[in-house]
Amino acid sequence: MNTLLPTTLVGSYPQPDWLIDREKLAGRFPPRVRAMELWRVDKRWLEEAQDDATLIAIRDQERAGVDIVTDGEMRRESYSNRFATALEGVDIDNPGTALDRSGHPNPVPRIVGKIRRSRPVEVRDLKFLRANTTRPVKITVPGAFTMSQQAQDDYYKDEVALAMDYAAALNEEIKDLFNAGADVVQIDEPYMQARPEKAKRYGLQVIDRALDGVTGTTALHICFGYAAIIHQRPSGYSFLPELESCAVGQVSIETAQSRLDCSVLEKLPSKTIMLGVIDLSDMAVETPETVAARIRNGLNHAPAKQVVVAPDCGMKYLPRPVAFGKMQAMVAGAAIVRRELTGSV
Amino acid sequence: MNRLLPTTLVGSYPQPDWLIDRAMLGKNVPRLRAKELWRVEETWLEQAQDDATVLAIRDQERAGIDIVTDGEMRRESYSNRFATALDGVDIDNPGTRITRAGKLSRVPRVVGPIRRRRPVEVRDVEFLRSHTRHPIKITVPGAFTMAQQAQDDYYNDEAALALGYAGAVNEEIKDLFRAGADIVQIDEPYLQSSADKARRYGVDVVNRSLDGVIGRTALHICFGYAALVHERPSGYSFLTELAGTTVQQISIETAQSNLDCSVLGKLSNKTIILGVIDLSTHEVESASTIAQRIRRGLAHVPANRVVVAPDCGMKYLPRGVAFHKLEAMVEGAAIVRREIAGGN
Repeated sequence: MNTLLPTTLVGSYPQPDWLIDREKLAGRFPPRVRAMELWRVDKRWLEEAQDDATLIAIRDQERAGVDIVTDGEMRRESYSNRFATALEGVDIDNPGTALDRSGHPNPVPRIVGKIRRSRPVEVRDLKFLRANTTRPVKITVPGAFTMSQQAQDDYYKDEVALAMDYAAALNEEIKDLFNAGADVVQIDEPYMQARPEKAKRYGLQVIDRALDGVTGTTALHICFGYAAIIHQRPSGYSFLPELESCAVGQVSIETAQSRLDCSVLEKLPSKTIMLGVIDLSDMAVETPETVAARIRNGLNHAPAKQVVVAPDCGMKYLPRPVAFGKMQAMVAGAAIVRRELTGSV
Repeated sequence: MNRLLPTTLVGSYPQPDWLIDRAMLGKNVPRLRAKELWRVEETWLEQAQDDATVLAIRDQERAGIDIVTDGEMRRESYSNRFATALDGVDIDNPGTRITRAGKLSRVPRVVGPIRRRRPVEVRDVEFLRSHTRHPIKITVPGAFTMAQQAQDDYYNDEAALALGYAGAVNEEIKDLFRAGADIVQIDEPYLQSSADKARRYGVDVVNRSLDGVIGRTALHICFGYAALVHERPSGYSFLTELAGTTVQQISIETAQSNLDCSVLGKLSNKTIILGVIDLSTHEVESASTIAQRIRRGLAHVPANRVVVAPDCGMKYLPRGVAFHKLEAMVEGAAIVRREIAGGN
């Protein structure tokens, strides 16, 4: 495990085509309610198939040389729907509607009662991951703010109270994940960038509630949306420096596709920066030197010992050979810069 | 392979249930194609088989296996994929034969001179080669066995039929070594079950299959998959004759049958791939049981001519059982290695 400029994924890796209908997945917004019809394996063998796909994802990361390994989110239709639909107070059979970040209405869970976590949702995923690699492991959970934006509130009639109860549920899950052996738990909060005014009003208290009493290494991912689904890139984040005062340890941001002006990172001096250096809108695999240049760009504004190297976002929608090649390029690019900094790999 | 008593599979490893209908697989070993057994649609089947192969490689590496196979993930049976890819073979209007288990089976019908149309397993080897750093072995069905699994409507001469298959196998073997295989193993279970015929022309057929082949070769001969053929005779009816073939390694089973290993003394010019895992039971042997089986073989073959393996292919075992049996085998080999060399 490289301690200087370690590499990781943001979370997802491409699922095999024999496991899930990737074309349907890519042709629509990430599901908010369950979408069991997307799976291509009979439910009698689905868990075994998802476990096997996870082993492939782990092996690919290890072969590429990635330091901190995820489970590739093989078992999920989307990064958020599996957890969001496993909570009490959520009616998934009679969905509501909410607008996604590009303004389209989507079926979403309908909140009909108090949100509560009734059982661990991802603990088995984490235990499986832990048992199948000797590398440090990271698991992702959907953020409470983001989940509250992906639901129809027919109960609370108060968006802050709704988000805070999602955060309480998440808090229990995060503690269980660390107890089960996670090295890093990452909260995915893309909607803090999509709804920056609301994020500024109550986003930080929601994060802090989710992390209340949590002592392990935590991260928060915030981005402009999956490149495969949201094609535009703004010139910069509308909500980011605010995160300096919240309890999370690492902030995961994208810089490659958007050519982010990394001077904004100077506003996060206490945070470790997960620097996104792989462009997921471009199917061409970067050269290691291109990746190294992106890393150096970030290092102009964040100290190297506070940087983790990652892709811009989840790789869920990439063809598998492209994703693998990009992981290799990322690892090689980090090695180039590491050598420059220390005189060794 | 520098290590003393290296470990390997005979060939097959259990396929995942999401990939193929294992319950149906276990009923009859297909001689024709049985595409309906696969649980993945044609469009993604190759990707699924490739992924299953990666998992089989991973399991072998995790168990500590030295010489790695592809687990035969892409096959409905050990022989049908190759046997049905040949010219001169009609699979649309099949014939019939009786299997060694006594069942009537639909089989390819030979209607013309047998010729290999194209490489069949070369991509399998290339894939295996690029997914592991370990030495790799690939299996091909033997010509004698394929001739017993076909209805001959052309040659009207069993030996000629088998030699016809041998020519095709010969071309394939050469291509497999070119593609990067370290070991190519011919699977010839029917040399044992049709021992009289084997004595008449078996050696010629094996030698024809290996004619001009440069590379490490092996031949597997057994009493049948434990899951399908439940009986075990007390010894081989055809084995020592293989001393007259050019093959370098002979893979035999000793565990389930409690083979009297003194017969191995008659194969003094061969490396013995010693079968030491009993595949008729799901019970996972202890490492010391396996070590004892290895020592039993070593009473008749010097250790530098022994490779440690299961009795036969593991195709019909549950995955977890197969994995744990391999772990026990690796540990059993390590125990004996330590005794011999005073180190691992």
